Amino acid sequence: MPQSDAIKRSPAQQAALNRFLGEVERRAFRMAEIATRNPDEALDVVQDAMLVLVRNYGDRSEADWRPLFHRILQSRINDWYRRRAVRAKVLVVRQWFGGGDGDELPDPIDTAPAPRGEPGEEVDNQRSGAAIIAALKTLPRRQQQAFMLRAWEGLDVAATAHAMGCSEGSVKTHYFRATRALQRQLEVFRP
Amino acid sequence: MNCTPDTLVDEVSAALDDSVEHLDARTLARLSHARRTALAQKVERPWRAWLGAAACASMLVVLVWPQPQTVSTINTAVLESDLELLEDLDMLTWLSAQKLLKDGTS
Repeated sequence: MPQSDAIKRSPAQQAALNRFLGEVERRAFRMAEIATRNPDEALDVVQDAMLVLVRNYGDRSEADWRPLFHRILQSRINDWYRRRAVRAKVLVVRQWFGGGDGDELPDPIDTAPAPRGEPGEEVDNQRSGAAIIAALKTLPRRQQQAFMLRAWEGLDVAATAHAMGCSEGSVKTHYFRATRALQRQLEVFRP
Repeated sequence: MNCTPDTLVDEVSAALDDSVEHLDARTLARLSHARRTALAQKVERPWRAWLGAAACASMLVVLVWPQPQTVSTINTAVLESDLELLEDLDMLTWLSAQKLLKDGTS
């Protein structure tokens, strides 16, 4: 059984970590929530990312924490997608062999996009920002990641590529497509 | 109104900033709890466990490892056992012959 030691850090270092996590936690939660569309899952993803950062990279310099945290967070989001895909396949197989009664499959009504409502109401929603976030949620995962890291977190192409674990060319492609998709979605209701 | 990429980025960023400013109290409390948990966790040092396991394994290997035997020692042992077997066989053959002789004469 692996031995455990309490993390020995100076109070200043511990305070710096606390400050850093406090700065990024809300935005990390929003990114995870947009990706998973589930607040509880998003909290789990963010907590995992925090645990890994503190455990494995807490001793690094403060300048390293931000890119590392984004990399870990995106990796956790990708893991979440993989686990969900595996669960879906298992459920399909169980249904195929008659093992499940279908109750465990998500209700299509629950997973359907929210109703758009009246056109006037839609414009109001758009102005309030809810429509923008709803539009972000409709983007494919990699486009979401590229757009939020570049546009919201302000990472450059190289840092975004590091966080996403892909090439800079892929980041540019995902970002371009995300921008086009969002423009199309949000311009429909523009005055 | 034309939606350029710059205005789009500004608009989306503003909407996201606004959304994180208005997170509900329950979510904020859970995030705070997650941060405290992360900072209070104990670090695992699996290399220490591996180091201990490696030391134990090394000692075990040293204790259990058979002593090296030279070829001559092995050959001698084999030859000795073979000779004993041959002697036993000779003895048995002689005994059988004696028995046959005895049976023949009687």
